[in-house]
Parts: sequence; structure tokens; C-alpha cells
Amino acid sequence: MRLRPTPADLLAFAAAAALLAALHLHAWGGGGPVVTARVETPAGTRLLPLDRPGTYRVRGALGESVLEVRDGAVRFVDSPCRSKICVRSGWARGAGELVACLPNGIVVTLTGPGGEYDAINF
Amino acid sequence: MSPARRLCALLAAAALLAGCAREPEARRYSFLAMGTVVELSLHGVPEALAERAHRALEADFAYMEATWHAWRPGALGRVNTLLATGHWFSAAPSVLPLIVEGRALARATGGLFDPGIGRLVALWGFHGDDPGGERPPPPEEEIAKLVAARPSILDLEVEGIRVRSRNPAVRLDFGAFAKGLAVDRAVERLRRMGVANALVNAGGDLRVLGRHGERPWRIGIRAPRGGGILAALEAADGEAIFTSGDYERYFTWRSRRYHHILDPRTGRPARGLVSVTVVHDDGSEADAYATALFVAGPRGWAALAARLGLRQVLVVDEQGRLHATPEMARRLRIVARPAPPLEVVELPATGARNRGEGE
Repeated sequence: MRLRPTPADLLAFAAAAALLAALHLHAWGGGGPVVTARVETPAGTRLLPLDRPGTYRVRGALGESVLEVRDGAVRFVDSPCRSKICVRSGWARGAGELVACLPNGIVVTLTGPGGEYDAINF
Repeated sequence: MSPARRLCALLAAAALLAGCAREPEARRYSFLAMGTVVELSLHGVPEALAERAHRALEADFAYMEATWHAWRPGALGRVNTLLATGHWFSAAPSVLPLIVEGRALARATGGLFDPGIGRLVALWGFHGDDPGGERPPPPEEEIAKLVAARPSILDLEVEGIRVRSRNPAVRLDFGAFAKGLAVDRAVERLRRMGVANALVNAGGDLRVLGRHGERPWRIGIRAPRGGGILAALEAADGEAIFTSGDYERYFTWRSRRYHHILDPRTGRPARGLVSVTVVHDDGSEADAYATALFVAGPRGWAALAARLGLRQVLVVDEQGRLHATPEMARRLRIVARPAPPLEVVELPATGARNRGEGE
């Protein structure tokens, strides 16, 4: 018996190809922020997409901390704590990285797919 | 096969192919406890179990923080008050295991790790949530007085649950190994709950269970100066990775850094090293031993590591040079650029001592 594709077969192939392409884009494609900074404060949580450079002020337990977002990374540039360990920690870049000002109660966690590390030891 | 069925089959195949293209991410949780951020990552764990595990660990850590806190009122605070009297008393069951383990660790490290120096830690102003900034170190005579009193956890006498101190200068502070113990207990709790693949990271000190799906858990070791990642390694099931560094808690005075890792022999911050990373199969040992190696300094760490039976150690000295044991050097991938020089240090041959010896 000879197999000849029917219009329904062609439709099925086209639908499958379109679905595959859509899933590929969904899973691997760019567009939209890949990594987002989840900023937890005593007053609640806010999200900072790392593709929007700028300076962000967040209120903590002691006062205002200043975060900078640039080149897909985030850091503390100022905080009302004495130790300034948060500022000296520098940039957090990949998903899974974290910077925090504990005295001010602010924890910034980078979330998103495909970070290079599952955890940072220090 | 009807066209409709073929369509369904093709769609299902396409979805499967696309779906298996990338491994699912781990579920991640974080909470504040023990003065730091605790992160829990779970892989291949159903949502309901993951949520239960998260709640259980958060409650456990809150309990351990309240019980073992070195300067807030709590079970350890009461033990310290009673130790100062010099009389026998029954130690709280939540604190007694730490006393027993702390003594074993102090003995194993020749006293370079000693949780009995709480008064020194307090004198240096490290009993506080934000001990940094610019401030002078404590007066020399006060340091000298405390060092002369030679406080040590080995000054305690322990009989069953009864404890007393022969030395009134002893004040317990479990800060140098409490996180290790907490991480061990968390991993044990997860195992009992049926979690096979997990990572518990308490402020940079961590232990793993199983794997991240098809691959091992990937760990980045932060560069001690200036942020960024210094090196990377893949952690095997059950491994603990702990670092003691001079950058975690410190203050400065006249351009000099005074950090929280105190040498019990001098009563001052230990000098010569910037960080010590230990990979080991036990969190509390890894935590205490990293501290002890840091105190042992550039000339003493290798001999002590050999004596403790440690095989995987990475040390960063004050010049930024790396020194690693052969086993550590083999598995470490240096990612910092320019790559700092790395010296492979053969550990001296010695009979590794059991830390329980003589207890």
C-alpha cells in the first residue's frame, strides 16, 4: 500500500511544527527579562527586571537602601547599616545569586532560568 | 489511524521533545534565621512535600536560633549565667549536645577552635547584629586580662546532663559551628521527610543531598575581595562546603581591619589568611575546622588539616594567592580573571586523629 499524505496529515505536520517552534521560543528564546531580582523588604516583596537599568530606593527596617541595576546585574550602592557588607558584596549577576543587607532586612535574590551556580559559598 | 489521531500523536510527540529539552529548575525558598539568609533548593520534589520541607526547616532554624543565640536571652544565655557561678547544674537538653560536640572539636583542633571564648567575642564587639563600621578595638589591658584567664570549653566538667565550669572566665558562644550543626540537622530532617535532592545554604555555608537532576549541584566560591566568583566546584551527595573569612563580620579602625575570627592564644583577630574553605562530609566539623585552620594561619593550616584528616582545603592568603590540597585542586575550576596563582600543597604525613579521642 502506498502512503500518500492527506491534507489532514499536512495540517498535523504544520501544527506540530508550529507548536515545536512556539515551545522552543518559550523555553529558550530571548525577549523579556531572563533574570529578575526579587527584593524582599520588611514591607513586602517587589520585583526588579534586570534588563531595566536604573537606581531603585527600597525602604528597610533602618531606612532606605539604594540598589543599582546595570548590565543585567544588581548591587547595593548604599544602605543605612554600619557594616556596609551589602555594599562591599558587589554585583549579583546570575540566577541563584543573592545580596542582602541583613540589618536593614533587605534580601535581593536573583531568580530565573539557567543560573551558572545553584549556590554561592562564602 | 485517523487524521485526528495522527494529529494528537504528533502534537504529543512535539510537546514531549520540547519539554525534555531543558531540565526543570529546582524549587527555591529563602528565609532569615541565625543572623543570615538561609536558602533551600529542592530538586525533583513534589510541590506539597517541598512546601512542608520549607516550613519544617524554617521552624527548626528559628528554634535553633532562639536556643543557641550567643547574646540574646534564651537557653544558652541561661547556661552561661549558671556557668559563671561555678556550681553544678543541669544543662538544657537543647544546649548539652553542643557542649559535648564543642569540647570534642576544641580537643581535636588543639584549642584553635574554642567555643569557650564568648567573653572575648563580646569584648571585641561582635555580639551584635551590625558590628561593623569604624570604631576602635578594645583596650589592650582588657584583652590581656581575658587571655591570661585562658577561658576554654575544656574547663567545663560534664557528668551526664550535669555541667559546671572550673573557670569563671568561660562564656559559651557557638557562633563558629552553630551554622554547621544547623545545616547538618536540616539535611537530616530532609532525609527523614523523603527528600533525596536538596541544597541547604545558611549564609554561604552549605551542604547538599543528592543531585540537581541529571547533574551534580554546582557551587560557586565567592572571591573574598571585591565580589565575583573565585572558583567553582560540583558537590557530591552529602558534602558540606564551609568557608571562614575575614570579610564576614569586621570593623575597621585607622585603615586596619579587625575581623571576628579570634585567636584564643592572643585574644586578637587571627592574621595571615583571608579565607579558608573546607569540603567535608560533616557540616559542624567543616564549620569548626575552617575556623581552626584560619587561626592556625599560613604556616600552620596544612599540618592541622592533616591531623584532622581533612583532604579538601582551599586557602586564600593576604596577597590573594591560593593554596589548595591536591584533592581540592583537582576538582576546583578557577573562574576569576586574571586567575590568581595557585599553589598545590601536599599535606604532611600524619596519623589522622579521631576527634572523639579522649572524651
